[in-house]
Amino acid sequence: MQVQAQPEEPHIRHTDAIHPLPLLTGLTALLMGALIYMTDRPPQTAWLVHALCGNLAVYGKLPPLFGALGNVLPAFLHVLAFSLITAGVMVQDKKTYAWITLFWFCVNALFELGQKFPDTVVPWIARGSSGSHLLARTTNFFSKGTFDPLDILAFAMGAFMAYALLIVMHKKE
Amino acid sequence: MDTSLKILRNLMRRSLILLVIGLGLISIVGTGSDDNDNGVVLSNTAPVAQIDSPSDSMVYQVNNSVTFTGSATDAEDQVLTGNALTWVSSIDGRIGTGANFTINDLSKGTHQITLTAMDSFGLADSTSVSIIMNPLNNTLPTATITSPPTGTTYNFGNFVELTGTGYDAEDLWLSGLSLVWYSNKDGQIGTGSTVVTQTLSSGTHIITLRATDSQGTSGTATLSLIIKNTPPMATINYPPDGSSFSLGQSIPFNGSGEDTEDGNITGTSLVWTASNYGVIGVGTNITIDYLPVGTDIVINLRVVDNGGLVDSDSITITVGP
Repeated sequence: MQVQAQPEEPHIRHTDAIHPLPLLTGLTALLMGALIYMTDRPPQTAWLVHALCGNLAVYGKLPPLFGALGNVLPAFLHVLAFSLITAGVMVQDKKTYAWITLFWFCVNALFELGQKFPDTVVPWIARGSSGSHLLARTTNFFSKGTFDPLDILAFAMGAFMAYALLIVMHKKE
Repeated sequence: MDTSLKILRNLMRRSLILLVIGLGLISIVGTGSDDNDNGVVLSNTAPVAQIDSPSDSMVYQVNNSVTFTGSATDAEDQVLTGNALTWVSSIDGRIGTGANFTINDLSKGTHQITLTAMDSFGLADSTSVSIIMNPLNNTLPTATITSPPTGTTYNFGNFVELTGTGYDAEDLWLSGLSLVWYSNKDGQIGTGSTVVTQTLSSGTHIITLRATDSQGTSGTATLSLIIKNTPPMATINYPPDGSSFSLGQSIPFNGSGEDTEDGNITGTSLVWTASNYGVIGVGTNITIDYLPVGTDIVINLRVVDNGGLVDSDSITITVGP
């Protein structure tokens, strides 16, 4: 029997399409981050989590799921999740991946560093806040949060992990 | 057609990217203390609970109906209702929820009725009243404070001796655990006819002696005492008085606030002002680089203690062009 070879379709990269794999992986990482606030920390320590799903919190009812890792895991997951989600809606190439992960590392690291110097950052924000609720929360973030160098390390690891995952996904595609 | 579609898709993609970045930034702030394990609770105003009825010290006969009415307001949740309002009796435990209910089966004795209001962030406020459910034919006891006279003033840390008696028609003179002393600021401070304490916090105290008979009903007497608050001491450690700086130069300021009752005062209780600018920062250490040019600029550090007393320290600096 003779099998007739089908003409191969040229490989087209849908660079202007949404890329579901990094997007879904990023959203999963984001949900995992939220889970930490549900199980390992009082939900009211994070107003956004509390406002969105505070009623689902089981903190105090179950033993902490993530143990000591739960201290730095949110930092790791934030950079990982938002790098993947951003890559999911952006043009896909290795150079862009590097920029995206670097961007999220820098943003998170700058916010973390801001907590080390609240006396400098807070008046600067306060000058532009003029009663905005979100900026008031931002002021709170810097004045009440605690700088933790381990978080910077977690951001870096999250960025590296995101880059590695994106390269693997890129090759798979 | 193709071009306009491409432009539209491009626009949508850019909006999506901006949305993701925005959400990312909000989630950094919104997860607040996600980067430390101190459990810092970001600002949420606690609710304010209020009991409208019964009034404090109301006396009812056992089996009488008692109607409880209260309310609570919260800056974030507005008016709290239902299970957010919990009523607890010191004798019978939880007796109801909500803004209004009536019961007729409270046990005999003096009940401390506490209304606790909890907002959706888990912050709570409580307020209490005492009511007496008196058994038939029981005479209520009386309490008397014999010393010190009301309005007496003490220095913080001094010994305060409180003396009083309790009498009941059925039980006669009451003593020991039947006589309990409370401060409205510090809670229970002792039992018995004489109590000596030197740990009363500064401020005006309403001291209550509660005498309780064998039926659990009680009578109270009160007096007010004043524990004097010592003012804090503000000190500017740096820069030295008369220092000169150039325009745009970062100027570090260091100061301290010491207080007998509060110890080291920090944070927003220390406020720095410059005579040619206004408020320039809060805390023990600040650094600024935006002071306008001027001579004899008065830098003031104002320190407020927990009792509201204030002290200031000032220096003069020059910012040259």
